[in-house]
Amino acid sequence: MNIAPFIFVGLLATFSISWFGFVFRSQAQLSKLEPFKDPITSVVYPIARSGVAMQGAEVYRAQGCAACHTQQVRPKELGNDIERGWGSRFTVATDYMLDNPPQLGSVRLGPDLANVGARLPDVNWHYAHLLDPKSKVEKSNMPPYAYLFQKKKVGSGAAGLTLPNDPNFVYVPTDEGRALVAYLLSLRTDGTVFEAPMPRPTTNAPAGDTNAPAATATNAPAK
Amino acid sequence: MTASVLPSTPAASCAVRPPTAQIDASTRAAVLWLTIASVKWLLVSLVAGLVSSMKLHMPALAAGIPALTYGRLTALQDSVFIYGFASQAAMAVSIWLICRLGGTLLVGGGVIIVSSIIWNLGVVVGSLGILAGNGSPFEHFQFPHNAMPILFVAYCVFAICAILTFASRKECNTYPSLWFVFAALIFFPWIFISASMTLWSPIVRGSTSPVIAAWAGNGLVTLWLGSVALAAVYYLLPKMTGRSLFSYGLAVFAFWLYVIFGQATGMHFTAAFPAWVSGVSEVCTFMMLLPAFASAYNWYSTVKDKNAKSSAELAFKFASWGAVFYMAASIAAALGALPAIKRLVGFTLFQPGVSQLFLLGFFTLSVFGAVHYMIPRVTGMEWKAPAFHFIGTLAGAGLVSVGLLLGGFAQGSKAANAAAPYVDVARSTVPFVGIIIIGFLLLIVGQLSFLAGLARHCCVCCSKCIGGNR
Repeated sequence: MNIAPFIFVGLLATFSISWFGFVFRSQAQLSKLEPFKDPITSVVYPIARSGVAMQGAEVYRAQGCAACHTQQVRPKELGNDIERGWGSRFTVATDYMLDNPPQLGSVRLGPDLANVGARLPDVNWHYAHLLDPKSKVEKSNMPPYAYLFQKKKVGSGAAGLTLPNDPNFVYVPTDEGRALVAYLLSLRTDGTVFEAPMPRPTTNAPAGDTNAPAATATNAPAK
Repeated sequence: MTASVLPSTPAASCAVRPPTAQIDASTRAAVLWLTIASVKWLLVSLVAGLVSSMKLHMPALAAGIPALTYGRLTALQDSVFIYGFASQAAMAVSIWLICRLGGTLLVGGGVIIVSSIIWNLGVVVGSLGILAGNGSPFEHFQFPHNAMPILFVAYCVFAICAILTFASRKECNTYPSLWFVFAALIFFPWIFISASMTLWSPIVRGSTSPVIAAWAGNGLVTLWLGSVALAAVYYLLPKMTGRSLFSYGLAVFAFWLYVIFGQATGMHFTAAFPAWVSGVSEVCTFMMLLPAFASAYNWYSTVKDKNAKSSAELAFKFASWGAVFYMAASIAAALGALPAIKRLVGFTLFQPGVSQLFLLGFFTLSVFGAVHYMIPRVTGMEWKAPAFHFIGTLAGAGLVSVGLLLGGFAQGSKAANAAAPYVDVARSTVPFVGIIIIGFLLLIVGQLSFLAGLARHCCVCCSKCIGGNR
């Protein structure tokens, strides 16, 4: 007996069920997400990243940063990310609703970056870290990204960073370098959402190129 | 359960099958072409893996070259492995098994070579795209979008030939290997088109695209590549020992559980997915132990007390170790789905380790078993297979997988202490990266020896055809 038609129907059924669940159902569920407006403060989260930060997301993708860095804070049952100070709450689907695509990553050969804009809000720290990671983290295993900087002679009028072993030159961030740092600073998942409790604020970083409101705004009176 | 089916002699014939030598000869050009093309890409993938592993030891290595960032190299390694090597090797094994088990001549051998040329063009476009920084962040779909239509067109041309061959089979009864090949040929385009149409679509935004990418990526590995590797093992182990498969019923059980639970494995580590996605995936990953144990029992009962001559053959060794890696990958994946271990090894090298147990271990060894069995038959000449190919591939696959798994546990143990600086956690992988580098070197030398041996064999084969001595 030729059982090929029966196998085909069986395979079609199993695939259809999984397609319906993971493609159709996911889209139906997640596409309905809307930014959350805090009823007390009227602060909306998330808000769109600035244009330069969105360009930075493309630089982040092109360099393959997600091969070493995740952008997801796990709940306490699944890991000690919150205890480590990587976020004040775990991340949820709402955090990524304006990203296309989100760059979640799956392996941590470096720290998680979901909330790096709040943890490390100093723009110069990021430039120095990209140019020479060991200048900021002594035992760092991150490669230097010197090609995101233009090398210019000291005295040429250009303002930039200097390296201790190369005092005759200054390093000026390229457009790509500026965009990448703008994106890193915009990575903040400390906005209020329904799904995840927010036990305590983690930062006093000012609002800038970010998808989260500044912490100082959270005590503003309701309008 | 009683012995029931032997790969080469199904219970009933619908029509007279052509002589086996004629069947093998009909697949010669396509099988050799696909095999050489696939192993060539495997070498590219392994070199990318070697350099990216070395960059973990020496971060400053080639740090000034944007094309060689760690992220781009790992994306290249993965994509070239999946599309360059594994998919083409799966195609070679599929068409040969369809012809052998269906008792029919290959339809459109030349067309399959044309489809392979188009496919390789797609892999080149995709690889250059990744190196130029145009890759996507989706695991197993990291080629830029413009490579996807090329690959899909090539696959459609190949699949038409494969389905026409399947439809013209002379054997009415289908052996279990054919079910797996049939499933693989059908699942690939469904998964591939679902991913290609949605991942780059402006309609699909936010967390939906990583969910679809994880579902499709795991489907690609489990249902497309895994099915072909299972087909190879189900064919080779009984064939090489001259036994019938121990139990047809157990094979039916394993097949259906594999295609049902294989739909949603390996998606449980991502914390940003809706809870039901992780929950379903944990259950499916754990339940994949059922088809794994069913297949292992079936194979063991088939080959136990095997005669020494068969066991010495290279193809048998490859297939047996492929089966061992299949069990190891299934058990490791199931352990990773347990909450305590998931907490320990989440986001570490453990997950790539499980992936390499399956891909470099199970898939590569099983498919090379089939390749070593096919080559002398399609060329009609005995060949002296390079012995180091087996040793290098087995030891290399073992070292890379074990290095990643142990590195994952070391990383997880260190990270369990929240007070430990993360740079120390990252550095805890360094000794294991050394093991992985040795593994990649062995794999590279093994594939070089295989390609050299195959090139010599093909030269003799071609001279026989050209000289009219066949």
